[in-house]
Amino acid sequence: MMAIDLQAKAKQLVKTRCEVGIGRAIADSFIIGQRNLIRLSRQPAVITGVLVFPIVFLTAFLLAFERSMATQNIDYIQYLVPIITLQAMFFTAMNSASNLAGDIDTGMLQRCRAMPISRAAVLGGLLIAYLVRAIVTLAILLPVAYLYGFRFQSGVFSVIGYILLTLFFTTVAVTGYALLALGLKKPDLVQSLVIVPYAPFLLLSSGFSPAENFPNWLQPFVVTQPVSHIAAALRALADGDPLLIPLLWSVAWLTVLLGGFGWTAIWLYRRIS
Amino acid sequence: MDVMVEARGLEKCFGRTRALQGIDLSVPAGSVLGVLGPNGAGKTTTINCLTTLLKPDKGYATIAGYDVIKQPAAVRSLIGVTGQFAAVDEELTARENLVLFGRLLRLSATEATKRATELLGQFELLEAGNRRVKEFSGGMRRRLDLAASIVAEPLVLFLDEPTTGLDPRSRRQLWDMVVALKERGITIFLTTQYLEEADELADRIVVIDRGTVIAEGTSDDLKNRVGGTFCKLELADPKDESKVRRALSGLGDITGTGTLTLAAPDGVTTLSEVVRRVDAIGVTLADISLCRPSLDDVFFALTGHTTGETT
Repeated sequence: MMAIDLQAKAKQLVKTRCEVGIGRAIADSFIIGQRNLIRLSRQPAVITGVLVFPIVFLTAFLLAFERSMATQNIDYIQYLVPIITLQAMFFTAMNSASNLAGDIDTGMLQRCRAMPISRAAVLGGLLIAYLVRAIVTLAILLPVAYLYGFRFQSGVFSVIGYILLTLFFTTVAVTGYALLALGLKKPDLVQSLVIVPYAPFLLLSSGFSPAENFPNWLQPFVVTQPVSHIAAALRALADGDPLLIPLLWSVAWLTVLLGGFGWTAIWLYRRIS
Repeated sequence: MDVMVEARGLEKCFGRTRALQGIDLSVPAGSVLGVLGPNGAGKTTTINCLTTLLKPDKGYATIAGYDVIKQPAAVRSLIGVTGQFAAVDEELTARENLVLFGRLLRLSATEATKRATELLGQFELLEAGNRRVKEFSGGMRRRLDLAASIVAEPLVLFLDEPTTGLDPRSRRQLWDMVVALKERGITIFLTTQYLEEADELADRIVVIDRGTVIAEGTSDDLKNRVGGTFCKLELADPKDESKVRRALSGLGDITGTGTLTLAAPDGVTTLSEVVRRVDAIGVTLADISLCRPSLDDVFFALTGHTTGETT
């Protein structure tokens, strides 16, 4: 049996260091989020990824396709900015997978798992840091898009809606990529595979070019997959077009994916070894 | 005596590999248990089960009476863990790391900062405190790792091969720090591949091999089982062998040819007696040394195979 004082000390530690509860989950996520942000601010590749890449892509696609799209009566800057936004978020999420895999590799994740901190905190902290990064990206991308002629046609609420839907997408993408990192664990492997979802979901969407420009056999995929719906919703928000249908599709897709990814990621986090 | 850590019949399989095949051990409060074994013996798996990182297939374990399977959150609030690879954030400075772990362990921002400075001093990292960990040497990293696992003082500290890969000086430094923690009353569960390390730090030693405990006792108990220290002498001229054997009669069994070995229960005293007698008969020695049993010797005596063969 334990001596009384040791038992009392143990009991007190168990009480004061309790990891359970939503309050703890939020507090711990913010502490880890802050740590992730310090890390991100020290990675040179992140700076270029946040500041330069989206602008380079926006400019390059505009130069390449603006004229040909004009022949289809498409104002390409209005059409393009939403998918460039989503693409920037996709790259953000890809980077989150690499960083999480790094934490698994160095043993940082195991250390956190053996500490009395919320089981949701590592994923929560990842999400918080990458949402901050996403907001910074938007704060750079949207003004540059404005300079190129991109306009929100229907006021401030559509701007807020555009940002919120983008951040919802980022949340789902980061969670999905966290799942990939937790499943594959090895940084090299994760690094080499993060690009794989990019091709089908970003390039084979109606985000860069309308669905009818794709081969007939591919069109069902293009019109069904989530990125097409989200890009359409963002375009509707920017152009002031009817929003309900694409928005409902987007929210439905994102909710289902977030539930699936999130649940599986926490399940994997508890079991990873 | 109070039992702080207890494991009974722990079993764990990874696919077809039976990593743990029924581990039993207990650690009295305030003591240091050294778990000795080669790579792949199940040391890390045992630690992972005890620290809630891994769920054992069978058996149970408790920390201060809390069940690691049924009350993992309670167990985590009582323990500190230093893994096999220094798990600290390379991109952060030493100080930032300690503040991070302090905040996660419920210290306020001010308390965590104060505690970080205190620990940096204690672990001789004050000067390097504001440098990023990726610039640290192996020894500094391990020290920081150790500091990080006691930011909020645990009841039990788990150290998984804390000095593997360190140079002798860094190893000595780390040992001193572990001893200091022990003196503060922290119960320590240490795994190691080095008998010397277990010898230096542990009150009791458990030897594990292929997922089971094969021996248990103090380091003296274990050494006695392999015959303890012995004296090895190399003759300059092999022809002197019979003369030397005669001169050393009464000191114990002498084995070998050319290089002679005999048990040296009194260590240096036996050695100097040997030197004195050999000198007296005018024989020259090429070399003489006192050898302590290595982990390999202990292993060979206990299992009939050397440490390398089990991996």
